[in-house]
Amino acid sequence: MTTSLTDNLQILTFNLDEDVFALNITDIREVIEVKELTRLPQTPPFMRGVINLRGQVVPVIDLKRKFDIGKTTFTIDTCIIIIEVEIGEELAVLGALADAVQDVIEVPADKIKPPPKIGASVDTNFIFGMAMGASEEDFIVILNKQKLFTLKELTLTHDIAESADTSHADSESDDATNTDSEED
Amino acid sequence: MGKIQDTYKEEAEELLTDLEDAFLELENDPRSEELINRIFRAMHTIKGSGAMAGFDNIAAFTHEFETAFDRVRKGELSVTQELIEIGLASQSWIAEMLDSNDQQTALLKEQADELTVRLLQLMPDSAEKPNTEQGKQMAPEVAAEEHDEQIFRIRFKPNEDFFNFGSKPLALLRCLEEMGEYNVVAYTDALPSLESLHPLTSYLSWDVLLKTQKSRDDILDVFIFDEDDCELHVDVIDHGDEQEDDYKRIGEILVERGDISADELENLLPKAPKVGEILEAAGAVAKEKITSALVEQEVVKTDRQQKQKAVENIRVPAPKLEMQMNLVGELVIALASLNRIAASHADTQLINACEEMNHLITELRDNVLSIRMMQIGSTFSRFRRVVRDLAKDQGKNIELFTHGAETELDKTVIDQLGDPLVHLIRNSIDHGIEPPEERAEKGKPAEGKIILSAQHTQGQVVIKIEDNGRGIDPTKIRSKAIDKGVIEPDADISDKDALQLIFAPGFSTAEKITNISGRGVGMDVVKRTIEDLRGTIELDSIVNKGTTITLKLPLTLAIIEGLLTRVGDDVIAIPLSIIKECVEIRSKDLSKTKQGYSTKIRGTLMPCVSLREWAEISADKPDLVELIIVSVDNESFAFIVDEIIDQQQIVIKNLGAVYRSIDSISGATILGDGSVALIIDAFQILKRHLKSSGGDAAQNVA
Repeated sequence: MTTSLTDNLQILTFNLDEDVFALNITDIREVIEVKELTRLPQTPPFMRGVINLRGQVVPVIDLKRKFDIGKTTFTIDTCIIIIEVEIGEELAVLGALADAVQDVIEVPADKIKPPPKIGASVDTNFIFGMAMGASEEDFIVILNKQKLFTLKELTLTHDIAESADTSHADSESDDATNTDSEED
Repeated sequence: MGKIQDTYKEEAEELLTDLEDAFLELENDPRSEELINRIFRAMHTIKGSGAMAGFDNIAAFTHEFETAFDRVRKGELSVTQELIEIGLASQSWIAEMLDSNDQQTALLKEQADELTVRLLQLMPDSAEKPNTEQGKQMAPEVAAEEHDEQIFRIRFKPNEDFFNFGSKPLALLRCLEEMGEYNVVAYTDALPSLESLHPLTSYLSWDVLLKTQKSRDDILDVFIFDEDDCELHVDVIDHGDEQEDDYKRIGEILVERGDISADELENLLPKAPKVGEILEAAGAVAKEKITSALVEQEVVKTDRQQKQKAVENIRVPAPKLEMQMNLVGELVIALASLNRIAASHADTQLINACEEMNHLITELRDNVLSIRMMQIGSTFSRFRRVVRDLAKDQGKNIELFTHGAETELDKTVIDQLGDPLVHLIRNSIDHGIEPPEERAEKGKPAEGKIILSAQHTQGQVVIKIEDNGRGIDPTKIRSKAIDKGVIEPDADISDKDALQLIFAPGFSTAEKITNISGRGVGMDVVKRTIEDLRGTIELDSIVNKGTTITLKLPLTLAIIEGLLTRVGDDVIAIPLSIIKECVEIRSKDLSKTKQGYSTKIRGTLMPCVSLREWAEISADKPDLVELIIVSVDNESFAFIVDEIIDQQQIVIKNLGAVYRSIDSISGATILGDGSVALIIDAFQILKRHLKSSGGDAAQNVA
């Protein structure tokens, strides 16, 4: 990330279940309400499909599935965080599903701790750092956009996708109603 | 970089292409006046506009060339092989200079000097032509863009004592010459016989016709120190904005100039048809005056004709066209939404109005698309030079034949096609065509052939590159692919499939890397570029007979006619251009086969692909299904869908890098209700379908 050590980091915090995650505000283009997704065949399950963002077709990622901590079900609070990332030489626009978006907060750079070696719910590779939340116990996991949204990460898990899809060939269109009954 | 510079570069690049073409044609037809004129004109413009845009080095260099070709034009110099060589080399040199924005590196300078020397050697009396005037001739038109071109008539008659003040008429005329297109007629009628001639007296006067962007004041400025010592009239005679072709008649011009009064003219006129001759014969007007008037008539006439021609073509920056295309795309989507609403209201008037809109928007779309269509010939001509130069370098004898240069393709496709095609042609020259000795040994004709062809078929453009060279041995490819780890040693693949391995990443057939092919871009890059254009590439080869590479490309990347179908809750679009017919059948008439499904349509067995399974939809099948029979690559098969929704114009949206690995989808489109539908790539599905053997159908199509 471009932020130097002395800068304060502005981050957008959001929920995946009870856990609080965050992305650097400069990476985020906008946050929109969740809308109808069109699923693409032959894609990993965490690639939930594409949306129409004012005429642009934008892929949407289910971070919970990517982190292997469940599957996002759509509620009134569900949001899509629209981010811009460089994939190869292209500037791509992606959406990430969040159970709820919380707040924009400022974190002093020196208060950001490196990711824990063990015990994190998410692959530490994807973590930029940990920040203190509202209380002592609440940690905010700041995600590393550059590591998370790479072409490799977004397409690599093809094998998982196929095995997962043959076990439950589900139609994604009924997501809004069903709860997460199947296991991943 | 200023705007003028950019415009100049654009223009010059076009001219250079034209120049290259003309030189190559000239090689076959050295006497063609038309070609020589074309070259001269191109050089002239490159020089003139170059000086104006501040590309002085290019201008200075090109000047020599223009001079040479002017002489060729006049028949003083003949077209030789050497001249063409120099011409082509100069063309490349100018292209490089354009790239470097007229910055001469030492190497470029050296090349320029060498070319100039070679050129001067061709011209027998080149020494007589000093280079000094060139700089002057060119420097002029800079910074004068603010005016439209006008034609001025400047009457300049120095007083008798003009020379006494150290004034030089020649210098003044030169100044005028630098301002634009210049025509001058001198009046010598005041010149006395030699005995009575006083060397310090000025007898001459001039009429100058000047086509320039400068203003009248600029012209008067030229005479600023001499205006008291001469008679000077500067008049605008043509503003450049009148439309009619005919300029004033000679009589009118002379009257306007005050050379003859209207009465005098009136008296003389009825005698004979030609005004100029009568006037001259009658001694009413001196011969020079008539000549001068004739020149004026001619200049204005040609100028107006040129202007009329210019109206026929308009230069538009590509981004504007992009924008236009995007807007039409949005319009198509908005229309789909409108249609949906109209259909749900069952209001005949509304539906009729929508119908009307449909027609208009379809027409608008076709029109916009046709504006973007370009003939592929412009790309082809590039290759003639490539083939010629490389063949010469390698001592091979190769001729390039092109067919279907008039085939039209979307501009974006053509733009991106250039590099892959160059690469493929280079490969043919480098690896394909054998040296003459080898060809002789094999009993092949000494001349190698490369055929580049383009044609339209089934809503696609097929481009073929054929050569009659040594061909590619599939066994060699196979063993090499195993060496490189591209395939497993025990892989069982057909000869045809083995040949396609050339396109695999990390594969290069060249034993050694020459400076021609294998410059970092592999065949895999070629393949990817073609696939990015939603096209396909295939290679066929017979050892010692030659190789054929076939590219298939969509006509356009933007909007197509599609058939929207429903599968479960998903909407899937199928390009209309490949659909042959639609048939409704009962689900139970489908029989499951090893590779999917099949059914009998009018007695023939039709292989079917279930889009329901492809889209990973598990819901129950309806009793009645729709078969969409398509034809791809001369193979017919059917897609099984639940229902046909509608036929619609669909705007193709790119899915981007994230989904590039999914080959069975060629893109997505946005429907009238704002949701996203996938567009199927039937060719890729067919390929998979044919490939898959064994396993159950669901896996094959999933």
